[in-house]
Amino acid sequence: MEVLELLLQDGTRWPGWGRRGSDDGGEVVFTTLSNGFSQALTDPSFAGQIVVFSFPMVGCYGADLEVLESARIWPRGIVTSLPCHGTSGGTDLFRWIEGSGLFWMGGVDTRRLVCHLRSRGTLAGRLLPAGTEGSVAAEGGSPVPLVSTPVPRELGGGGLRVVVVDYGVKEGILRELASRDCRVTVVPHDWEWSEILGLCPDGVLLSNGPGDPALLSHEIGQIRGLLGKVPLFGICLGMQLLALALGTKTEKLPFGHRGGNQPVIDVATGRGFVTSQNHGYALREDSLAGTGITVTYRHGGDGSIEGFRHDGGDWGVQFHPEATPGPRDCPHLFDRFIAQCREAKS
Amino acid sequence: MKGTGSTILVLGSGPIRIGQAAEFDYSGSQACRTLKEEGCRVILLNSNPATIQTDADLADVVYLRPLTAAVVEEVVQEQRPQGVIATLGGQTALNLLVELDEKGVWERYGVSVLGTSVESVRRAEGRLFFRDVLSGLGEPVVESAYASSVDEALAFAENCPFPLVVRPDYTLGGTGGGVARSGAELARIAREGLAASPVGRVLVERYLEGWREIEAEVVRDGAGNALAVCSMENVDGMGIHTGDSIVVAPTLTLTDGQWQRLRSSALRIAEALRIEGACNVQFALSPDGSEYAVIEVNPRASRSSALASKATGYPIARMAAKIALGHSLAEMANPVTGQGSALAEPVVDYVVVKFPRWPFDRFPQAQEGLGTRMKSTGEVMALGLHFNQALQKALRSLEFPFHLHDPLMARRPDEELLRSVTHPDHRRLWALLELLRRGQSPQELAGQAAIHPFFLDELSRLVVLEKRLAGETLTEDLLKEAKFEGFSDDDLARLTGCSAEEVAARRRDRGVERSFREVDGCAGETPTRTGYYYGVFGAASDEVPADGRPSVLVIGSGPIRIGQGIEFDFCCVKAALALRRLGLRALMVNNNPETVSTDHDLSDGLYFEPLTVEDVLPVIDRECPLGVLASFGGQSALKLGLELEKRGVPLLGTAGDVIRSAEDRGLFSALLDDLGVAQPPGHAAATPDEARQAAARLGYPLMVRPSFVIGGVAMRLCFNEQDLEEIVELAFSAEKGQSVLIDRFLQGREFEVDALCDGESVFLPGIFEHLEPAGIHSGDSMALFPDMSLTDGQRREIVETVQALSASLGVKGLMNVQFVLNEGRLYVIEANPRASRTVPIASKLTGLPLVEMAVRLACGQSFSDLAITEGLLDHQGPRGVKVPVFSTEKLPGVDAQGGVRMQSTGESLGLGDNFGVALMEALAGAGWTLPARGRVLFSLADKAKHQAPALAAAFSALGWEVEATKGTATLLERWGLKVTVAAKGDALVEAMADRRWDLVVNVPGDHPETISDGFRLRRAAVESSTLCLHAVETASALAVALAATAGSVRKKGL
Repeated sequence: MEVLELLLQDGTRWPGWGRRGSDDGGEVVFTTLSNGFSQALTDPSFAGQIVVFSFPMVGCYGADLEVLESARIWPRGIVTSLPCHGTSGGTDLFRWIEGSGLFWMGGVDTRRLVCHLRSRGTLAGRLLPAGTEGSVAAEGGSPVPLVSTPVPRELGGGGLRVVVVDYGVKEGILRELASRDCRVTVVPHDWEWSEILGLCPDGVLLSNGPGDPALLSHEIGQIRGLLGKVPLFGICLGMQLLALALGTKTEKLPFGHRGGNQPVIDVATGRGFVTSQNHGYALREDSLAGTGITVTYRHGGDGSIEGFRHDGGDWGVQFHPEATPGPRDCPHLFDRFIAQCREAKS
Repeated sequence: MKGTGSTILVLGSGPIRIGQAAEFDYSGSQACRTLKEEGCRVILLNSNPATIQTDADLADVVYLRPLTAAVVEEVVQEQRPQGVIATLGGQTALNLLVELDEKGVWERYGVSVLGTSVESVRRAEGRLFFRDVLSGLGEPVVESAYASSVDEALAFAENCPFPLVVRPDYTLGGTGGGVARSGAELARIAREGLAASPVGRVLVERYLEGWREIEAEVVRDGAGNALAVCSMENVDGMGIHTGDSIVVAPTLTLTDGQWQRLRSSALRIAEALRIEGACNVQFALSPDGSEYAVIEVNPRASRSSALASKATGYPIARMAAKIALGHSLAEMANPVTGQGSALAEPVVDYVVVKFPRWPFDRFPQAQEGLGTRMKSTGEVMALGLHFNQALQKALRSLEFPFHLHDPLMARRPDEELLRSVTHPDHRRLWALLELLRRGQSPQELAGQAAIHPFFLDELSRLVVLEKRLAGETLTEDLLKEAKFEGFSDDDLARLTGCSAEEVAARRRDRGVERSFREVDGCAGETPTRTGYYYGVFGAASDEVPADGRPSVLVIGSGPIRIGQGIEFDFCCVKAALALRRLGLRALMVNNNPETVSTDHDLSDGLYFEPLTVEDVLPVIDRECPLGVLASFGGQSALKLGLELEKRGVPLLGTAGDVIRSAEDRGLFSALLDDLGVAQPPGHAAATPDEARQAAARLGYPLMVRPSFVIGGVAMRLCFNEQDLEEIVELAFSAEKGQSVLIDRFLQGREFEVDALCDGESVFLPGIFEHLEPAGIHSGDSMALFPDMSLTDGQRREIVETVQALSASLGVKGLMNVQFVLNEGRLYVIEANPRASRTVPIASKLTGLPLVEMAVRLACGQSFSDLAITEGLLDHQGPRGVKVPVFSTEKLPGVDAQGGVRMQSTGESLGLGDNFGVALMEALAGAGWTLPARGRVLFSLADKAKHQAPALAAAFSALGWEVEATKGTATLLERWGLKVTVAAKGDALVEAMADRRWDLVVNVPGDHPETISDGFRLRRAAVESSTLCLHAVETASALAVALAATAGSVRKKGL
């Protein structure tokens, strides 16, 4: 165990201790989850980030490896108040983290850090041995190529054919589709639209993923090619890309929405849902005019756009209806997509 | 909105009982405030005078009347409310809601039921709810079936996996049941159980061995929006009532999958029931987490919803009230952060531990085992950075003489400790700690206790640290680690062998200090100003908002225990509100999650902390209050106040040396002598030998008690030397270093007053007269207000005595003085310069804000500022009778006879133009409804037998059938009274169980043996809910009241 510091872009230093990883720099974000750590860590949307857990006890029940969101851990490191070496799950969460090459840090006053990030906005950071200097700079480029599958893969054996474009897809999304009688083909992020259509899909799901959507111009172009040809449903980054393909713009949120308690309101009915979220970017309100987009969901907190429907029938949500981790209040969205696919098929 | 601006009836929950306590004052009060904010006219009905909700501040009209269907109908007739809310008054209110619906009252008067509908309540409460409704939803339930033969039991086992538990029907204390792990065992146990059951029936149920117990608090609105406010995990597994379990929030050992599955289930159930408000769902979760079963659903606010509210800052009752008025969660602002949506599920960045407070210290005869019947009277909650930190704070909040280290456990052999682990009792945590100290493995203990291994690992960290503290030098790192793990300075002093002051000094030198963080419901995501704080080690503080007002800190009363109940919470809340009205910043420190005082909306700064010097001093350092109000939270708050004063904290109101001279028997006795005030001859003994000598000199009977005790713990009436020997050592051990008071016991009537003193003059709002004779604790006695039997001269004497005492002591604020009238002479038996148990009652009967007045006096105002004149108030209001309420039915083994040790958990107040009506109202409020003509059983000890004939004649004249046990009956027959001789022994117990008698008058002998007939009779009365009076005086008063109210009783019967 080493005495360490988290140095942020604004020069603040956050003392703690822990173990260093293979790459100790990244964008520092916080999540308010109080369990589901193993699922969060394997969510590819956290790729390249340093994740601060606001809940102080992390790891009480060990690593929960039964249901994961991908085959590996994606953040560069995690920052906690009190690492717990729970053994009841069979595997110590922190041994698992170390084994995956990322860093972990304990003993940090995470509430102060969360309050700092909420007032300063998301910042780049780097883990350093205490008292040493290092450079902290925001990274350019999108991590999507790193997290996407290099080759297509298939799962499920149902009657509907759904293609999932993998910008960093969570297994939870695939599980939802597979459980709804779908034959799912997961394709790499940069597949051409014609290649996708070549699979004769009944619907295409644009997956979640990490980073700034605006950097993915190739992917946006391919989505544009799919418009009007097959039902499209975007989740999180997938929704943002779909919106960009429809001519809108996105912006970075001050500190994003990350956690399993986020309220979302259905604009048409006034009904609210508690959702799981993990995003740092959002659609720009002022870019919607003339795009044929209608806002369908808004965040109950800051009112930001959480979902839309396009005149052409394509739609997306910013939150995670597949949950894992988080509340499972919106499985009906998958039903809706499946119904759309069925309709398209017949 | 359907309810805004309308008249709304809110049903309260009545007297405090085990299982139905202050949490409903909290939820009801919050609802009343919310409804008023919404412009409603609030009508409140509750018979419990110690509650905040029955204060005229909160509701527009308060009915301090019994919670019975007849009374509700009368109130509805008088007030014509448009709506009724019954989901915030516990089971009592819910039952009334259904009963009145069945009688068609709501429909007849056009009252709409707001919040969760009657139909939903009926479905959730129905006997077949689990089988029909839950199973219909596909929710797993615990399979069970009644069997009247061994074959039926075996047939059940064909479709249900072993192990199974067999419970014989209708046996007391669960005798004859057991756990069967095979068909052969089941046959044997079922055969035994069928034989043990008087009705020849057993319940066979799947035994959820080692399963965990998890709770979800759901809030749902009329539009179907819902959230789970909090997840809670019982550290103790299935089989121990959740009220008797150590609980953590949020869940710590559940994976995302496990918790979300339960959360979704809870939301589905709330949806199916169309809940509009709060709903509590309890689950059993299999050890590997793969399987669950719904074990309880409460379609209302509950103890758990109060805990969830305090654990997260999310005011469930407030939201339930708003939902009842038709608001939607999707539209309302977040009630914690003030920003964003009310639908955001609270998230926390700390760990909460709830720990029960049991009454076994006052009921040595009670069976100490824990099971499905709740036995605790109250609870504490603590917030910390992690489990151990919160647990140790919770243990300090219990106000036991020890924290982690129970000396009794250290003396027990391993086998006995293991028995506490496998057959849980209230000492289980300490038994586990002791076994860990002795080197047992946490994993094995986890298995034996059916507690998740995570918790045993945490406890074992504490034990390892204890050892290091005892063996190593206290370096800065070790000190930091120990404080981080929650050890107090006192603990460290004990473990390291230095003094607590030394530890504190070393801590200060090294800057190892507490910080205070805010509870914000969002784990830091949104800036908030809740003013709700908790202390931690190992993290920095959130700022105190400077609002320019000077502050004053009110010390709360901690967990509810017998003798220190919700009355003191009433006083503390009123004190905080009074401070606000005076333009001051009101601060509150307390640790009881059930109460109104820990509603962070009612103070400007709420500190959820143990009530110890170490925990409270940093609050004072941080807030720099003008001073501390310690006289409203009962005896424990007063003690803490004195300790704080020693450390330079200004005590507002009555000064510390005044309190000490009133509490110190020697000083106080000398003062009374100086003033020429009569007192029972007595002596303050410093040693057991001195006590024996004093006893010999004073003569018997004697009252023996340690000074500074709550509600008569270790107090005893001694009639001879043998009695004295039984108690004397115990009395000295009750509180280290304190003297024990030996007083002549004077028989007679007791009176007490709560006087306001401004340092010179006194104001007496009235005099309470106790119906039970001296020797019954005043808290357990029926009391009249104002008194009825004193002469004007005696009243003048009481005023003069209180005046003389107050002036010479220099009391500023409230003082409670108790008198006994013995052979025509008044003696002072006790004086406490603080708010007492009776203050809320005196306040409500006179309509005077006594607590606010006391606060103003403490802040330097005088009688003229308060617009009151000295002397005894000429009472203009209604007459009142207080009737105590006991929870003895929840505590097998406890003798219900009254004595010098307080036993009651609550009280009901009846009002009337005369005492007859008031007494009947109070009895009804306490749950006793008597027929105009019934059947009474007399069983009087020899010393009281001579009073039996007059009493029996009175009941006879009222048309009651009189029965008596043999001795009493013989005497009545000699007078020519018509009497039936009641059977003895088992036959009597059975007759009682069949509710043969409407009333039992049992005057116990001086030396009841716990196994005697008297004990069995009283216990049978308790178990069968038969009103049992223990004094001739109360029985006579009842006869008078029956005579006086015969008309109204009959009218109510119609």
